[in-house]
Amino acid sequence: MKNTLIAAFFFLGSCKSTDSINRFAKSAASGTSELNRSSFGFGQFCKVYDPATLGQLTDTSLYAKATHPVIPCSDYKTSDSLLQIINQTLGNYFFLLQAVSDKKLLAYNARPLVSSLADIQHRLLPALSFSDEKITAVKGLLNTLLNEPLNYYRAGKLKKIMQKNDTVLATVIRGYEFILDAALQGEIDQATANYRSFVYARLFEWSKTAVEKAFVNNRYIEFLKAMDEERQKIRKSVRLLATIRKDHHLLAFEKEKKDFRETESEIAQDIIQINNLIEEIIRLTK
Amino acid sequence: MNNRLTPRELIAVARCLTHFQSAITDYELTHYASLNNSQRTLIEQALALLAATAGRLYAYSVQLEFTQIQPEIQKMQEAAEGLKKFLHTVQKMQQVLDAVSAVAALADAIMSHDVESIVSGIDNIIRMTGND
Repeated sequence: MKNTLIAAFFFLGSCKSTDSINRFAKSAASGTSELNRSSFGFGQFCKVYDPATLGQLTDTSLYAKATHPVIPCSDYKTSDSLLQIINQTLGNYFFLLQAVSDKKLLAYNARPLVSSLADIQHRLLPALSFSDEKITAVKGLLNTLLNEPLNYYRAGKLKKIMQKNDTVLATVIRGYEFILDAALQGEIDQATANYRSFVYARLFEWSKTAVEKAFVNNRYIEFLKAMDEERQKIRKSVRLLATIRKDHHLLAFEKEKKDFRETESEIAQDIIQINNLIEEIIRLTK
Repeated sequence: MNNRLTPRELIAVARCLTHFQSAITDYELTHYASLNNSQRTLIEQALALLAATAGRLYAYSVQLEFTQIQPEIQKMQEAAEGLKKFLHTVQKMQQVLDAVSAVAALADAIMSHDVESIVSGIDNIIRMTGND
C-alpha cells in the first residue's frame, strides 16, 4: 500500500511538471519585451517627414519651397502608446507565468529538518539508533511527499489559469499581429510612397547633372533598404507572436488530446524557433 | 446596417490612397517636362493631401483595433493580477515549509543548550512570520 502511494506521487509529479510552462513563458516574455524595444513605431514616421530632418537629409534649400504632407504626430503617438499597452499587458502576463512556474520557487529541502530531528532523537531516545542510510532515505521520502503534491497542485492551477485565458490571449495577440502586419506595414508602404513623392521626385526633377541624379538615386536606394529591413522585422515579429499564441494553446489544452511527449517536443522546437526569431529581430534592429 | 468601418476596411481604404499617390507620382515623373507650374502645384497639393490622409488612416486603424480588443486586454490584465496573487500564495507555501525546518533547528539548538543558535533560530522564525 505504502509503495503504491509513493509510486503514485512519483507518477503525478512526473506528469504535472511546470518546466514546459516555465520555458515557454520565459521565451514569450523575452520575445514580447524585444518587440517593444525593437519596433520602429508609428511616431518615427513623423520624424521622417519633419521638414528639419528632411532639410538635413536633402541638404537643399529647394525642399523648403516644395509642398510637404502635413503629418499629424499626435495620432501617431496615440497609436504607439496603445501598442505599448498591448505589449506590456502580454509581457506582464508571461513574466508572471514564468515566475509562478519557476521550479525553484517551491522546492522543499528536508535535509535541515531531518538532520535536526536526528540530532534530537540521538539525545532524547538514544536506544532508537537510526543509521545514516535510513536518515538519507527519510530525507528523500519527505522531499518527494512534500514537493510532489505541491507541484501537482501548482501545475494544475497554472493549467486552469492558462485554459481560462487562452481565448482572450489569442484575441489580444491577433490584434497585435494585425496592428503590425496591416497598420505598421501600411505605414511603411506609405513612408516609401512619401519619400518617392516628396523627396525623390522633387530632387530628381531639380537635379541637373548625372552626378546629382546618381546621388539622389543612391539616397533613394538606401531609404528603400532601411524600409525593407523594417518589413522583415515586422514579418518575424508576426511569426513570433503566432508561435507564442499556438504554444499557449498547446500547453493549455493539447496535453489532454495528444501524447504528452509529442506536445513537449513540439513546444521545445517552437521555443528554439522563438529564440532564433528574437535573435534575428535584434540583428535587424542593430 | 452598420455604417462604421472595421479596422481592416480602414486599412483597405488607406492602401487605395497609397496606391493612388504612387500612381500620381509616376505620372508626374514621366510628364514633368510637359507640366506647367500651376499643374505641378496642383499635383503636389493632391499628393500632400493623399499622404496625410493615408498616414492618418493607418494610425487611426490602430485605435479602432484597440477599441475592439479592449475588453480582452482588460481580462488579460485581470489574469495577470490573478497570477500575481497565486505567486504570493506559492511564496507563502514555501515560507511555511521553511518555518517547519526552522522550528526543528530551534528545537535542536535548545536540546544542545547552544545559546547562539537559539537566538539566531528565534530571529529566523520572527523574520519568517513577519514576512507577508
